[in-house]
Amino acid sequence: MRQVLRLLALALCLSLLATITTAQAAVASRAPVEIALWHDWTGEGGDGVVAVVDAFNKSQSNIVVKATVTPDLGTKLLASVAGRVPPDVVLFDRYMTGQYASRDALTPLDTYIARDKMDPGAFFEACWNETVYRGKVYSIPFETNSRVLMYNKRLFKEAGLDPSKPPETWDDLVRYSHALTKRDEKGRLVQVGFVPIWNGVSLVHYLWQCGGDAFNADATRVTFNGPEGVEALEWVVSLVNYYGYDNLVSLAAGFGSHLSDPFYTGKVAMKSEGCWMLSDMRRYAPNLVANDLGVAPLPRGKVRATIAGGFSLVIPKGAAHSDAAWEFIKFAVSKDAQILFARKAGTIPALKAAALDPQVAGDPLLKPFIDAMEHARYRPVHPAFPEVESYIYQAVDKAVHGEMSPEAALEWAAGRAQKVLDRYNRHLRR
Amino acid sequence: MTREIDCTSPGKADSGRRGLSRNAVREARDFYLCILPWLVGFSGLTLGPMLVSFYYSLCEYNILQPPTWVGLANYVSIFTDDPLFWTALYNTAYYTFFSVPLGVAGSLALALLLNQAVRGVRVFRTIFYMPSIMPAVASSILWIWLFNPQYGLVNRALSLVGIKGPLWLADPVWSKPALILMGLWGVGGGTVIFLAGLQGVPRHLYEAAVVDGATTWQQFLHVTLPMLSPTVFFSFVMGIIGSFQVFTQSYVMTQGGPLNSTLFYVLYLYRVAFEFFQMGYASALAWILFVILVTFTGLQLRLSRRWVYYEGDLRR
Repeated sequence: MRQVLRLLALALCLSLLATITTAQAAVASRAPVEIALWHDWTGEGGDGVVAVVDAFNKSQSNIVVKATVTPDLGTKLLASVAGRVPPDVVLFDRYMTGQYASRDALTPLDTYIARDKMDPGAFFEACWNETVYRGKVYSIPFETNSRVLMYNKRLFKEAGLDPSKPPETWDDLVRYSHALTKRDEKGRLVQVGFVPIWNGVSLVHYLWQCGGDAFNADATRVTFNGPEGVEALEWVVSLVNYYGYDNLVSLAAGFGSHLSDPFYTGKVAMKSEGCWMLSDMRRYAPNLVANDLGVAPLPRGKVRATIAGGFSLVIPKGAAHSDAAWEFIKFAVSKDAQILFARKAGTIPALKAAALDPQVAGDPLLKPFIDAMEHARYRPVHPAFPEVESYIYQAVDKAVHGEMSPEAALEWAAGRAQKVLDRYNRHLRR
Repeated sequence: MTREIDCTSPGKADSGRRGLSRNAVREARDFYLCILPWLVGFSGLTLGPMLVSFYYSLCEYNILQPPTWVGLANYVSIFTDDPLFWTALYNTAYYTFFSVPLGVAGSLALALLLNQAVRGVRVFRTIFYMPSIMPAVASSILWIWLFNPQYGLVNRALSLVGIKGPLWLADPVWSKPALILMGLWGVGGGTVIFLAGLQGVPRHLYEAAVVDGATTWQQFLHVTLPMLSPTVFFSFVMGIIGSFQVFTQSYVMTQGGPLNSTLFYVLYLYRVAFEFFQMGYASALAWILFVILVTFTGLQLRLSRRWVYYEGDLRR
C-alpha cells in the first residue's frame, strides 16, 4: 500500500513538474506579438521612424513593431478601417483627428492614459488639445512644428535695413517688404520682401494674429468673416497688390527647389517657414545658413500666433492588438525616443522635456522654432473644418484675383461654410 | 443585317416545339462559359458597385459609419444649393465642347497626312502616337514646364512672333484653354484609329471619283468622309465620355485653380468623396454624371442614323 502511495506521490510530483516546465516553455516560446505601424514619412523623417521602431523592438521581447511606409495614407486608412482590417497603430497628421474621431474610426485612449498616468501637461498644450474631440483623447502627439520668419541678412543690409532688427509687427513687415522689393526696367519683379500667400500659409494664421478664430467656442458658428478676418484678408490683399498678383506669378515661374530655391538665391528676402526646411537649407545653402540667415518670431498683428502642426500616434478602431499598440505609443513619446526622433528628423518633439533638452534645443537654428511654441495655435478639432477651410482658401483666391472685395469674399465663404458646419453638427447630434 | 441572321440561325432553325435542340443548348452553354470571366468581373467589379453607389447616393454616408437614408436630399442640394457643382459642370462642358471636336479634327487631319505614301511614314506614325502612351501624370508635369509663363516653350515661341503670352495655368481665363491645348498633344491615339479606317476605304471608289473628274477635296468630302463616318462617330462618343471624366491634368497641374477655373467634375467628385468623406453626396454626383453621359451617347446614337454610313448597311 505504502509502495502504491509513494508511487502516486512521485507521479503527482512529476506531473506537477511537467506542468510547470511546459508552462514555462510555453511562456518562453510564445512568439512576440507583431503589430503593424503605418506612416508616410520618407527621407530623414523616415529614418527617424525606423530608429524609434528599432529602439522599441530592442527594448523588449514581447512586441515587434513592423513599420510600413504607406503613401496616400488617408485613403488607405479609410479603406482599412471600413474593411475592418486596420493596422494597429498609425502615425498620422494630427489635423485629421477630428475627422476620424467623429466617425468613430479611432480608439479613445483615456483609459490607457488614466491607467498609466500619462501627463497631458508634459506635452505642448496646443499639441495635446488638438487630440481632444468632445472631451475624449484620440491621439497622442508625437512631434510638432511651428513657423518663424526667416530673412536674408545680406539683402537687409543692401536695402539699408538693420539685420539685427527683424520686423516686429505687420506694419514693419510691410515697410520692410517695400524696401526689399526690386523691379527691373520693365517693372517686373526681381526680388520681393514678404509674400503673405506663399509657403502654404493659410488665412487662418493671419486671422489668429488679428485675434480672431475660425469658429466660435462651441463650434456652432463660423467666425472667420468677423472684423478680424476682414482686417487680415485686407492686409494680405494690399500687400499682394503692392507687388501685383500677375507679377508674383511671373516671378514664381522661375522658382525651383533645393539649389534654386528662391530664398537661397536671394529672390525672396523674407518668408514664413517651418523647421522641416532646415535640413534642406543646410545641405543646399550652407553659406546662407552660416552667414546671412536671420530667424525671428513671426511679426504680430494684434497678437503673436503660429500654427502648431505635426503628427500624432493613433490606434484605429478595430485594431487587433490595441494593448500592444499602446505600449509602442508610450515608448514613442518617452523622452529618449522623442529626442532620438527629433535629432534624426529635425522636427520638434511634442514632449516638452525632450524639446527643451540641450540635445534638441541646443541646435541654434531649431531653438527659435521651439520658442515659438509659446504662441502656438491649432486648427479646430471638428470634422467640418477641412471643408470649411477649403472655402477660406477660395475666399482668399477671389480676393487676391480682385473678383470680390475681401469683405464680400469672406461673407460669401462664411455663408457656404456655415451650411457645411450646420450639416455636420446636425448629423453629429443624430 | 444578313450576318446577324446567320449568327442566330442555328438555334432558331433547330428549335422545335420542345425548345432548344441539344446542339443549341451546348452552344449556349459554351457561350456563357466563354464569357464567364467577363461576366464575373463585370457584375462583381462594375455592376455591383454601381448599384451599391446608387443606394449610397440616397444616403448620408461617410465610409466609416453605416449609411443613413436621406432620400433625394443629396440630389436636391446638388441642384439647388451647390455653386461648385455648376462651376464644375460648366468647366467640364467647356473643356468637352472645345477639346472633343478639335481632337477629332486633329486626329483626322494627322491621319490623312500619315496615310500618304512617303518615305519614313512609319517613323512619323510612331512619333505622333507616342504621347498617347505617356502616363498622364508625367505629361502633366512636362506641360507645367511648357506653360511656364517666364521660361516655358509656349510663351518663348509666342514671344518670337511678338506676342506676350498669358500666365496660362495661373490665369483663370487661360487655364482651361491651356489644358485643351495640352489635350491636343495626345491626338495621335485617335489618329491610329482613323488610319485603320482609311486603310479600309476601297480604292475603286477613288478611281471611280477620279474618272468622274473629282478634285482631291471633292474626293475627301464625298468618298473619304462618308466611308470614315463610323470612325468619326466612334471618336466623338468615346471623346465625350473621356473628356467628361477629365481629372489627372487639373489634379496634378492646377488643383482646380485659379478661382476654380479648372475644377472639373470628377476632381470635384473626388474631393467630396475622399477629402470631405461625403461618400453619399459623391455617389449622387457620380450618378448625375452617368445620366449626362448616357443621354449624350443616346442622343449621338439617334443623330448618327442621319450621317453615319455603314458599308453593307441596307437602310439606304
